[in-house]
Amino acid sequence: MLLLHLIRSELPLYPIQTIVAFFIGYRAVRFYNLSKEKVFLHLNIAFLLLGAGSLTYFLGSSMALLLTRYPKVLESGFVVSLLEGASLVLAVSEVLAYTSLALGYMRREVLASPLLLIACMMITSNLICLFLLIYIVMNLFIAYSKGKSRRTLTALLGFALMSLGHAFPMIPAFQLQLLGELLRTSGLVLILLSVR
Amino acid sequence: MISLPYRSRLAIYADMLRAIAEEGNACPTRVLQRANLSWDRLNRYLSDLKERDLIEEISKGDSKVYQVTEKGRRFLREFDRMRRILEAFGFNVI
Repeated sequence: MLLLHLIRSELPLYPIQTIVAFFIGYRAVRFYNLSKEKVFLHLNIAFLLLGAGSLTYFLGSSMALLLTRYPKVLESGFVVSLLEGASLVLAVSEVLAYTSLALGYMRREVLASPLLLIACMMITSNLICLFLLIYIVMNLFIAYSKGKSRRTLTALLGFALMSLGHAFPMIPAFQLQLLGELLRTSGLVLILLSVR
Repeated sequence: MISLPYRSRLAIYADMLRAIAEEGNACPTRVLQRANLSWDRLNRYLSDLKERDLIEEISKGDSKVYQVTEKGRRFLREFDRMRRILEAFGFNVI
């Protein structure tokens, strides 16, 4: 019941995440087609994966919520399987998305430590996302200290919020789960503002 | 010593495309002067632009001139947005 309550509360945030991520992904692929710069391809893959993950989770969870009205379906365990499936897709897509983005930075050789990435692949989904996001934030911090650009700073804050959004759900408390989702959505919106 | 601001590859492409577009049909020397490049870099970037279908090469007797393609014009229109997204993610300085 608590799980369903949590899903109901955080569900409206997923369409926002989907739209924002798809918008950035679409813009990146347009720029890739024009310039053939690999960096845009990394951005495109990352944000399309984030969007696809959020959309899948939104659709899966919405369907699961609707199905809870039918006791027979609820008893069959289908609802739980649906939620598990949607969560798995979301987790995998997020890990792949941040990996793609981190690879974009690795190609530029800002931080000569790809081993950091390999080591963190052994940890669970949120922790991996957190590691990758910290790596991205570090790159952005270096870029910001060199360029002093307000856009970079906005994106840096966006990714920092997304990192916190992945850190909070590791603590098993309902409010922190919701706070995590709110932080991730705010982070995505900040990233959108930085590329506006 | 005066240090020049860092120019990313995309910014160099944009400078070259702008130079060619403003000249109409630009010969390599004009592009070199207007985009402030060395011969080596000019030749490398001219082949990059041709490969990406952003410019086309036209032979005029013994010499060659360059013209911006439709895709090249779109690149110039979108360049500011591209620059902003690269700046946001820190890819312009690293």
